[in-house]
Amino acid sequence: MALTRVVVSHSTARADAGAALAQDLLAKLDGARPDALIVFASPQHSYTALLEAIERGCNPRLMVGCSSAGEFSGGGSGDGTVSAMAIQGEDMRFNAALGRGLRAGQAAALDQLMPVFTGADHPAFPHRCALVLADALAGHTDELVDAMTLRTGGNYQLFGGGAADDARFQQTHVFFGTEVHEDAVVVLEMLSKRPLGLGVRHGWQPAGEALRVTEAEGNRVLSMNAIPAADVFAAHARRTGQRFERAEPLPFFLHNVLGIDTGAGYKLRVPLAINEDGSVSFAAAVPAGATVRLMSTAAHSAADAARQATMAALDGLRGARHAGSLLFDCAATRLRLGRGFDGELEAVAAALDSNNFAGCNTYGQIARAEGQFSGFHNCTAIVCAIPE
Amino acid sequence: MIPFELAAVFNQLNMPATRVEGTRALAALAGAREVLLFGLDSEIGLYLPAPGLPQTLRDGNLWQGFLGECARDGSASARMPDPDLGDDTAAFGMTDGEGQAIVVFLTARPAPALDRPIRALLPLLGAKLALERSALAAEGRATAARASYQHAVQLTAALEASRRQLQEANDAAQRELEQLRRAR
Repeated sequence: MALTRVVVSHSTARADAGAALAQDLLAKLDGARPDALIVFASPQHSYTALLEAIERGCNPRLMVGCSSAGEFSGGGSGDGTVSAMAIQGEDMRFNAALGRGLRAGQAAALDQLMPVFTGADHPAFPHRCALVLADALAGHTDELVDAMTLRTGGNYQLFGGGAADDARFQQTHVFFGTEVHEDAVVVLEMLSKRPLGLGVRHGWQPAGEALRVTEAEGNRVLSMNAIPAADVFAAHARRTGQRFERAEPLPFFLHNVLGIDTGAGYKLRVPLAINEDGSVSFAAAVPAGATVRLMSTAAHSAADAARQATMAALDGLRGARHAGSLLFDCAATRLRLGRGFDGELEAVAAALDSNNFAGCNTYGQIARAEGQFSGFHNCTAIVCAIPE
Repeated sequence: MIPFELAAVFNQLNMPATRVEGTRALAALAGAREVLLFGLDSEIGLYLPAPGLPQTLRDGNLWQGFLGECARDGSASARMPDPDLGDDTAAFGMTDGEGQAIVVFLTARPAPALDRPIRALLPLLGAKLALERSALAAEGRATAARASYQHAVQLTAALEASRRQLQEANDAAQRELEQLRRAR
């Protein structure tokens, strides 16, 4: 018998989603109480009511989660829905914490989180992983992941994402038990007797000449090559025969992101909006003076990236049997692919040879694993495979 | 012979901090409404506004086309969108011999008596702009390198703490093993 059981569920119901999810998860666990429950919910739900119903229904020892922009499990996907994963077993230990006040900087929030990292006290569970879900709109996620890596001595594989809100970019929330918080980050420590696998891939390629960021302020790029940023995108659209509407640029932006040349690959930045002065706002900061390129992808690239991330995650299990996986991908990827996003989920299921996975679309993805010291990404598929 | 006033203007143009005043003074000398100054960014192969001057140009795509013409032919004239007002304005641009800098006059081109001394002084300014661009790139790389170094130092300290923790855990395990052996 498996020592760790992972079960997933997905609900399209509006009114009774929490009760339905709890009932389904509990049945799949043969009535056992989940040690940890991870919930992803669209902002179309009343979070507190949803979380209370889940708690009443299956009484998890720990529950964390976040709002999202598309939810899925191997059994289904959709917008305005809820997905969840429950984990139960003797070969894993869990611990959860909340850090508030992220908007003021990562330091204070991280101070509140640090007690969650108890790996050193549990040598029988040597494999250390932590799920990190942050209010992406509060900012500072990049620095938070960096600082968390340092303060945990690089001993934890960190993964997760930025909470989302169905691409409204207004309010994003994280869940800690039945509490719902803005301006906060939640961490689920996952200690295991066997290795957990983490895979990270994106399917974007440079699609234009190198550009110099001539003027930028934080997340807002005013110009590249001295040309107003919106005009750079418009010229790229003309050159590549794509439709670009200034009043509604999101469809174009979903297929054309910016890649900051790091000298060792490209750090992706998703454009979100054109401002009145012709500048473009991005999901994360783009520094002035950076060399950048416009990047493009195709549906099969996203599916390939997710498949490769899954294979890398399975490799990380080092021969152990796969119990279940968490998958995070960008909200932009889902918007760009529409129904085609199901193809990505099918690629993950095929690579896992299992439908036992759940996840959501996030604003930015978090992954700090071996060889991945740059922790906050855009447009990237992240898979965490959990061993039996 | 280079007029004293022009030499003084180029002194201002040589320093990013006084470059705005320099372009105004050069425009006044040439009878132009405005002067724009560009330096070659050799990494991307395009001319960009000199440091110290506004870094975003209205209709920048058209301007890049015009600057390309100037670089190819040594000088060029065209009706160009005014970077401030947006309306079409007569523009005249000239480059230095090395292709490192382009100076553009709006509304009027300099008189022949001023044209030659400007061309004579432009290569020095071009060399200075190339140095500034290299310095900016080097500064960016140095900043990134400093950040990487600091990050590496912090990581090393964190990993050293982990190593000590592992060592202590190993020592404790060895002691337990030894006790077990003795107990047998």
